[in-house]
Amino acid sequence: MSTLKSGAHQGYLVDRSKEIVGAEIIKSVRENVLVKSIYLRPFRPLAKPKPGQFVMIWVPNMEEIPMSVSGFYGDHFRISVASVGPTTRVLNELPVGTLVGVKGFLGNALQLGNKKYLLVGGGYGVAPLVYAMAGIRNSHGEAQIVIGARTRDLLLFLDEAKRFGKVHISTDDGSEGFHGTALDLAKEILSSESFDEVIVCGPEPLLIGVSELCSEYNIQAYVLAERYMKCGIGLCGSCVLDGSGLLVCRDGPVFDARIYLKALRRKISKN
Amino acid sequence: MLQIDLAGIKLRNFLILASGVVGSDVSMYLRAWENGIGAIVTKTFTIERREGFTTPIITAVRCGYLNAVGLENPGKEGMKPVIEYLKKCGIPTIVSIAGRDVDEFLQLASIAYESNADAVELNLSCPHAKGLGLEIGLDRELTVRIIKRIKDDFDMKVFPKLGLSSNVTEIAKSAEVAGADGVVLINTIRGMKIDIWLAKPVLSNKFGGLSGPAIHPIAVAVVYQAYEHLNIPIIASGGVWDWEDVVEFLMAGAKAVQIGSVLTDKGFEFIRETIENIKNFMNSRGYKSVEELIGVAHE
Ligand SMILES: Cc1cc2nc3c(=O)[nH]c(=O)nc-3n(C[C@H](O)[C@H](O)[C@H](O)COP(=O)(O)OP(=O)(O)OC[C@H]3O[C@@H](n4cnc5c(N)ncnc54)[C@H](O)[C@@H]3O)c2cc1C
Ligand SMILES: Cc1cc2nc3c(=O)[nH]c(=O)nc-3n(C[C@H](O)[C@H](O)[C@H](O)COP(=O)(O)O)c2cc1C
Ligand code: FES
Repeated sequence: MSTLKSGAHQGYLVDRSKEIVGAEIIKSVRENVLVKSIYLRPFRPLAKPKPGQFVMIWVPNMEEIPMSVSGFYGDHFRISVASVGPTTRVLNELPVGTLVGVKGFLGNALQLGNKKYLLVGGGYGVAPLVYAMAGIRNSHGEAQIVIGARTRDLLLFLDEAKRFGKVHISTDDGSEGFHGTALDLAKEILSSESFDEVIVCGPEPLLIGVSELCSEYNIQAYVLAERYMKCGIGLCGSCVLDGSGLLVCRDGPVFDARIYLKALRRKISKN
Repeated sequence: MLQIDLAGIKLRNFLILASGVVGSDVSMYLRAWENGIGAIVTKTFTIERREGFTTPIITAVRCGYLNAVGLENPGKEGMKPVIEYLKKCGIPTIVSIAGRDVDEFLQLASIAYESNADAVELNLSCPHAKGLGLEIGLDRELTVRIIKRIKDDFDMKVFPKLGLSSNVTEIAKSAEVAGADGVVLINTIRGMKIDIWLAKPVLSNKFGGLSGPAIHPIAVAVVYQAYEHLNIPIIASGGVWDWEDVVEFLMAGAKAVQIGSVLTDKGFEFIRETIENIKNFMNSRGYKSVEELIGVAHE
């Protein structure tokens, strides 16, 4: 008689990290004109987030939106929010003591190990990468990071990143560091030094550029992708990665760069 | 061993993707098919395009999921391309539709028919959309008229999906008499989650539909009771969380079983694993075909 595995051994009840729970804003720090870091303490402790994971933040009377985790400190965690629209603008104005809803931590995660990494972050894309740098250090790996922005006053987490590894700076207008995009700088670095893996987060053109670059250089790369999300847990279908059958909230947000490029090219060839 | 004939539709197995649990992108349906699903029920289509409710639309609760997506869908214009694509891939396609009255149901059924859908599933049971779903399904006479008119006008299989109510068995029986080719039992059950810290309901719509483990025993009871009164096949839906739940539904009298919110916790691999586990179960217990399992709990 073949052995019958009872399904009841695993996942007998639902995954509670997908439940919306109240959380208090305990601190908020302005990082630059666009971005604020908000420290949240949930009323029910959440399991430690893995680097790359995100959390859904519900601002009552506004929307529930996805945010990367940029830091975790046991009973509280940090998100770093760029004001781009109605919900993020309100979120960034909420005073300490305000309550919001959180659902997390969600999504797959970066598999970090004892390797040499180049991280490439554009704009608020640096947020999940500083948390990943802490993870890389814990796994005894080595990290260098490219932090890119349009101008010097939009550069994010320079001091924090320096604690975890070498920091390369790029600005589009040349006001600090390398004069050019994060992609241009990544290209320079990769042509002179070798890395085991590259991880990129930021605007879509940066993700595509770095993915293509790494495929050319034959380096394993991962992207942290973004799509409009309504549920964050794989049940509404709003975050499908361009007709690929992959959900950014559940199969991602971390994707192998080759799979990511294939999904995007399929969309282009369809149009 | 696992093939079934569902009211004349040949399925490679009895597992069906429930309506709405992966949205309405065809690539998601295709993924379910590649992972072994026997048939697809599309996301519910309405006449007009619907944006759905504002977020939050879904939360876990201790024993399941609560959703108020709000029947987001592209409207009737979106039906044809989806159905034709699925049919081109050889996928048995059941199209879920929800109208406000007989005429709207007929319009939607007509598009499904012209696009060669295998069947329509009538959403008479969504618990949170105004003027649609359950609000129609609780009206037995209206339900009967909708089924009759679709059966009169189109040579197509019709599966009403009924929600929990005190007289669900009677409504199912009336549906059978009206010409339904099968019934789907049940949909989500109205529920609410209040976060005590925020001191308010967390879904923007306040009320949602409860799915998952919490509703499974309720669904089993509904299926079991309906089986004693119906001659048409029953398609079960509600809280399948592992392969044993599927077998339970079959034994209660279901001919096919829909899987829904389990996909968020266990992924599309769940389909393949469930099929494998049920095959093993049947082999070890000496069942040679699904037919032998259906309704055995009644003997
Ligand atoms: C996995 C993930 C992680 C994210 N991490 C962060 C983060 O760490 N910090 C941060 O500031 N932002 C992050 N975002 C983006 C953030 O969710 C959006 O900026 C936010 O939802 C905008 O809401 P809004 O109501 O303020 O603006 P809206 O009016 O909704 O949108 C303003 C602009 O942002 C775009 N947008 C809206 N929603 C999304 C979305 N879900 N994803 C991508 N673009 C969107 C719109 O197309 C529009 O251009 C993340 C998104 C995802 C999917
Ligand atoms: C996010 C979500 C969306 C749903 N959308 C629909 C829908 O559009 N039409 C419908 O008939 N049922 C819909 N349902 C109900 C499911 O098809 C299914 O009947 C219900 O979830 C119970 O099954 P489960 O416990 O296996 O999920 C939805 C359920 C969920 C969780
Ligand atoms: S956001 Fe709902 S499926 Fe990804």
